[in-house]
Amino acid sequence: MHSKVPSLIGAGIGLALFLAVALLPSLLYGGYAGLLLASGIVGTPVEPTLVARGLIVFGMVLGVTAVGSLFAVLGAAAGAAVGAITAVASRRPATEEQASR
Amino acid sequence: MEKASLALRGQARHFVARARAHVLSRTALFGANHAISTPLTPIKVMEASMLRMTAFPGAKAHTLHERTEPMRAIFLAFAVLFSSSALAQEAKLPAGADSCLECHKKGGDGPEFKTADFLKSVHAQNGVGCTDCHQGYAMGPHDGEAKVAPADEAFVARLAKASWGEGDRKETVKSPRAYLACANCHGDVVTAFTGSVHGRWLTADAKVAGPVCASCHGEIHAAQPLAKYAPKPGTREPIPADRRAMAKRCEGCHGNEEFAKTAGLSAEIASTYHDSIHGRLVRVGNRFAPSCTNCHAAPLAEGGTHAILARTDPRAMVSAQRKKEACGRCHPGASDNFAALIAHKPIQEIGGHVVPHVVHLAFSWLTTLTLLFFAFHVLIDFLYELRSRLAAKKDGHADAVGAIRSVIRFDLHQRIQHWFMLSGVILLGITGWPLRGAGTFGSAPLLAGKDAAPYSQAFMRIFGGAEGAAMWHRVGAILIITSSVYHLFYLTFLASKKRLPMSMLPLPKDALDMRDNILFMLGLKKERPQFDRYMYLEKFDYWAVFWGIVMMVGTGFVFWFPAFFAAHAPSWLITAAIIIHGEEATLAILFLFVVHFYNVHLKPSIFPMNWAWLNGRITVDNLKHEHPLEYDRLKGGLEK
Repeated sequence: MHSKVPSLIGAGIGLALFLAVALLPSLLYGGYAGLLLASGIVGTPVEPTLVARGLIVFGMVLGVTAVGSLFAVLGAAAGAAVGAITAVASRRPATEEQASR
Repeated sequence: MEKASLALRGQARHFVARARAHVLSRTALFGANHAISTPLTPIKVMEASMLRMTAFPGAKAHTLHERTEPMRAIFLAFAVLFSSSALAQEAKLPAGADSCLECHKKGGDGPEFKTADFLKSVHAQNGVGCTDCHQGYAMGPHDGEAKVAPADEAFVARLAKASWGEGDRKETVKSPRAYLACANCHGDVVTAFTGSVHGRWLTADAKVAGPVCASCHGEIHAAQPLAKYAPKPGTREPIPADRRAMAKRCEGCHGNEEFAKTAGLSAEIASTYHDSIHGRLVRVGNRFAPSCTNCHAAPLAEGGTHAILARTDPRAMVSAQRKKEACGRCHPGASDNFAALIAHKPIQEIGGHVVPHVVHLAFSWLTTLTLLFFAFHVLIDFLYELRSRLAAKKDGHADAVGAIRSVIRFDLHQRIQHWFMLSGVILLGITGWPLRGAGTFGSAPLLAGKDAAPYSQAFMRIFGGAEGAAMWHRVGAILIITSSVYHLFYLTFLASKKRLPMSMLPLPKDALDMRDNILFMLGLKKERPQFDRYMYLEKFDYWAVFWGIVMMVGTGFVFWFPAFFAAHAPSWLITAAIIIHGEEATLAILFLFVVHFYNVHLKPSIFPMNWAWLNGRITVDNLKHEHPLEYDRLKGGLEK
């Protein structure tokens, strides 16, 4: 059950999927989160100051990391599940094994 | 045969009724001064083979269609005979249009008339001819023709000045005089519009000339019919697509900074709407979410969308007096308190109470500082892990037995609670953030001109669209509530057995451990602090969930039953709840997906995951490394 290979493959697929479909939206969502934080800290309307830009970039980095992590973790969990199922399916019953000897 | 006869009679009645409305409405609305200035041929009796119609007093034919009685009879006979089939087929250019197109065709002497667009329009489908609107013209060129009646001059002059935004371009009225004819068929509409706040920008000497029919209905020659929208209070009906599309036209003026500045309007109206819960729901494709006209339009009996009034007018649907009536269109039981929650302002400014401001400020700082600190923690931990792995490779040995042997860390109850919690939180995050993130970026630094709404809309299709995502969001809420209730029962059970895990309580040692661990990971301290069963990060995770559940579930119910809460709580409390739900969602999702996922899944020494969430076990190696004080206590038992 604790073989890392299926979950590593799952995590890889999850990350590839993330890069293909979710990188840009996660940048935007993260940036928006940063913008909302900036609006609370520096007030509205948010002017293009260093603090505001910094918070937006920080939000983008967190957004990409968060969504990327989610894809990787869900991929790893799915990989682990597939790995566990295939391990059970490929295990030969003990009686069958004894008979074949 | 009898059926066909009835149909023909129906068509004929329709013609008469339209002609009657044409004249009556014009006279009633614009008065005698607005009568057509060119003398027209009186229509007396129209005969057809199957029916006889008497023209109403004063009915006249236009100069371009000057008709003799036999001509009229023949024309009407053909019109009546073929009208049914004509309606079933594509619309045709009305009689007399050929003459106009001599000059107004592509490459002709006059302005081009786009025949194909017109044929698809509601006007073509109803047989409206060129001279029904452009009255008083003979064959061109038209210079000096069709004088405007003195009483109409000021009105037509203002019409000529009117402009509006059509996408990115500015549109102006090409033929202002023709707008006088709208009332001929749309009498009630013109009456309502003339009395509306929009109409006053045309009739009064306002800063800018107001919207005209085309501003909302689009290019008049290509005008399409709009669905009548008369929501019954308390019934939840999808908003017709054309009503939602109409919002873009409202923004042509109200979202245009230059126009708004000139007109003395707030340029923030459009962006504050898009950032509101209603605006976001519309942006992610929720068919039930309201656009401009759903709140601002008067009831159909009072003129509907054409009778929009300024909110300072007590008759307006958005006035203090009637606002709850507007809210009640979708939210049964809406009170004044509830109605006060919606305004074209940033949420913390609605109501003018200090609490939402303080909550907004406090949560912004809390979220920012928490995320900054833990992002820093993750970063230095990651770097430390990389250094450790490189060092371990150089040493080239590991405790193989310790990596295989394991101890139970979480029992089945704890794992079930965690499964409920994680599935609920992930569901809440992935159905909630696409909505929260669908606001506008306005002129924000780095983000201006970009839009996340299309991504949200596409993603929500996985859940069956915006309404499906809303339903799944509630399922997520039920999952975390279930987990919380289960946990409280579990704690009560443990307390009854005097087995409450007191090791989860935060202690001053945790603060010192945190400081020392950071210094250790930075290489400024040689020894790592000795952690017991739960280290400071785990305690933070646990208590943050307690805090988060109280915040998110409590405020989530306010979103779920807004009218109920507004009836029993002050509006500032509801506003604060709305702010908290959004801010706490940002903090929770980013913390869990970045910090928690790193600690239990993505840390190089753990990747792809800490299996304890599935089987409840951790390896002895892990116990020894992460929880040395607990390991020391258990060592005796482990060695047996």
